[in-house]
Amino acid sequence: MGDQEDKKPEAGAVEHINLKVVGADQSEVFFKIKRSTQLKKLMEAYCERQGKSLNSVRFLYDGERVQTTNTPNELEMEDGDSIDVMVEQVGGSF
Amino acid sequence: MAPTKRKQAVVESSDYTKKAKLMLIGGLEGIAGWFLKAPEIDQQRTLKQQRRGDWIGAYPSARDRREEYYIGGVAYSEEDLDHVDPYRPVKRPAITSSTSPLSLSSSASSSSAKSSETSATSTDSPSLDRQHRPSLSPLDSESRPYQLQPYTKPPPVIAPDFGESRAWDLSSSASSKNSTLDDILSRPFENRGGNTLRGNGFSSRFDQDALLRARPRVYASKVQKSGSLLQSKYYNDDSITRQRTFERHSSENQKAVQSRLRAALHGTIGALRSESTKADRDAADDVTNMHRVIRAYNRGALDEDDSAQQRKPSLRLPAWTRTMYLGNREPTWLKNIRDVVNRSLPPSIENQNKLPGYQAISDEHDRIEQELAAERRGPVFTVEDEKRIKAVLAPGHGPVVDGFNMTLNKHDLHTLRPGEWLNDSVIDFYSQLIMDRSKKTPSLPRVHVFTTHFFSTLAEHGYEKIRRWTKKVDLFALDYVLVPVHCSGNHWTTAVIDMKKKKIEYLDSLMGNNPKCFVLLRGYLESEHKDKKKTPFDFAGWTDNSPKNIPKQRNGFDCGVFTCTFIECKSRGMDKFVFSQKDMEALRKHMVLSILNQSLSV
Repeated sequence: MGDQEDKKPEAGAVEHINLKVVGADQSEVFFKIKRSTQLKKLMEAYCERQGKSLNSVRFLYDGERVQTTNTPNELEMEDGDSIDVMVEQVGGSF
Repeated sequence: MAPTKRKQAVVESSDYTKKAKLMLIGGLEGIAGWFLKAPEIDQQRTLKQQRRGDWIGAYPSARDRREEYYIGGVAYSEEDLDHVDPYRPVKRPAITSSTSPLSLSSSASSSSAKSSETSATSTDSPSLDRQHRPSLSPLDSESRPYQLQPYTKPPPVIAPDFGESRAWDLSSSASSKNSTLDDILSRPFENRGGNTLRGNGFSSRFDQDALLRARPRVYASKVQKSGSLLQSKYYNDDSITRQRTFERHSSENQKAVQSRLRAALHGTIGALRSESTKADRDAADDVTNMHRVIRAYNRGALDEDDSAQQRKPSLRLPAWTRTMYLGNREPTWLKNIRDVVNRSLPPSIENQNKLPGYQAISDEHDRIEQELAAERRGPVFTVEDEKRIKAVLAPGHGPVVDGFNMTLNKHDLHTLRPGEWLNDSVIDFYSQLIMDRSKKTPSLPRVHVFTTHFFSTLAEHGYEKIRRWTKKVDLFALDYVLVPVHCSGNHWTTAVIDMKKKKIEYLDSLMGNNPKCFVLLRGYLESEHKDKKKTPFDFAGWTDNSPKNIPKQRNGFDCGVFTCTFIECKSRGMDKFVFSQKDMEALRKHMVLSILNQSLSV
């Protein structure tokens, strides 16, 4: 793992990937970020654009939560991958 | 002189104690009889009344009051009173100068000397002749109590003539001005005018005729409707009714009864006190005897009446003793007596554990309870744990837990407060804990718990969007696939795909059904198998089931906890759920603690 991490920044240090953020209403927003950039930047930009609080939405990549500190490298994202945005769910009774 | 006085006093006091004892026992019998509502009660009461003696008859019980009336210290039954002539005319000397009936009172008082003479002579003669029986003048009523004469033959009822309205309005009629007092008295009672001649102490309070004049129609209808004229509220000659009321409410009478009762019971309580100090052996014996009598009575009463056995025997005084004679507050001395007697009474169902088979059933119950308690793994919290939980659930902001690629903020954990609805983050984190435990513990079944957004995405967007969600896991190699289901935006339920037993279960703590869930999950399994294994899924032997014999939610907020606990139990391979609504508060705490520790106990 350590070798791979070392290799990838070398291979794509300046490599950007395109990410698609799919909202709960199926609206798509495209972002182009560096592989080594924390996704916090993307998430904050998306929330600001959509007028939502970061606490009220969940970013899922392949069914797993995306942390603000995650980078596309960590999550092994590929070009054109999509991140799903989910709204908070609560439940107690009918 | 002094010794004799003292002796006399002693004699009196001993006599008093005897009376007191008698009174207490008799009273208790009467009270115990209160509980026996057997049909023989009437017979019993008459016997008791005979046994009670004169002192107890001085005041009526609530039951007796309906039938007996105490007038001038003499008891009259309802029948006696019915035979009393209510229309007894008043024999008066004629007064020619009477101008109007309203002036009758002054005329009567002026001739009071004559009337007292006549009444005195007639009381000596025991003549019961209705026509010549005397009545009482106002002076007489002051000098001695009103005596009722029993009358054997009820007189023919003279129906008042209501044909002419206001016929009895004497003040307005011209003919009444010429009438003499004899004329007035010979008229039917309602035409007589004021009732100042009745002499019962109430006559001067109000003018009955004024009332009659004001409401002639009501009067007529009342009299005609009522079966007995005696019951009529507007009855002019209702001296008997008034006398009853007078006697009943006479404060003097009440006071006398009260003082007698109090004095008698004071004697008994004195005996009780001396028993406690053991100063007076005789008094102690008396108390013991009293207890024996009470016990014997109760035993007998219980043997006689089956329905009384069900009732708890206790000494409760009837309401009238408090309200009518003793005031609203129960005096301390009476309470003391009651306490002593109550203590001596047996408990109601003392032989409960002697029922056949009771012990066996009880033991079995305890054994099952113990088993369930062991299975339930009731979480135990130390003081330290409680402090941590309290701190986390306290108001505030900011991240609390960071793990499993998730960050739980304080407001997420606040959904675990009692009464709050759980949100998806908490359930997802708990699911991660379950999966983590399952991976680390080889003895537990292999499980995968989907995120809460899995099912909603599958339902909304189909398989394609969640195709890549299982790229790290092979569902078909697992024992259980657990799916938290977010229903209609406000309810958490659980779907369980049991790969080994080939069944899909839908667990709803509110007993709901979700047929769509089975369709979606079957479709998902098929697509997933095609996508990952490249072969169609074999549904042979697969069943759908929504069991209803699962723990039920009894409120409108705990379904998230139910869902998490269903998942947790299933992840341990349990087929039977041993928790219930009453465990929810502890389970919420348990969840908070597990999340804080980022590990789930086995």
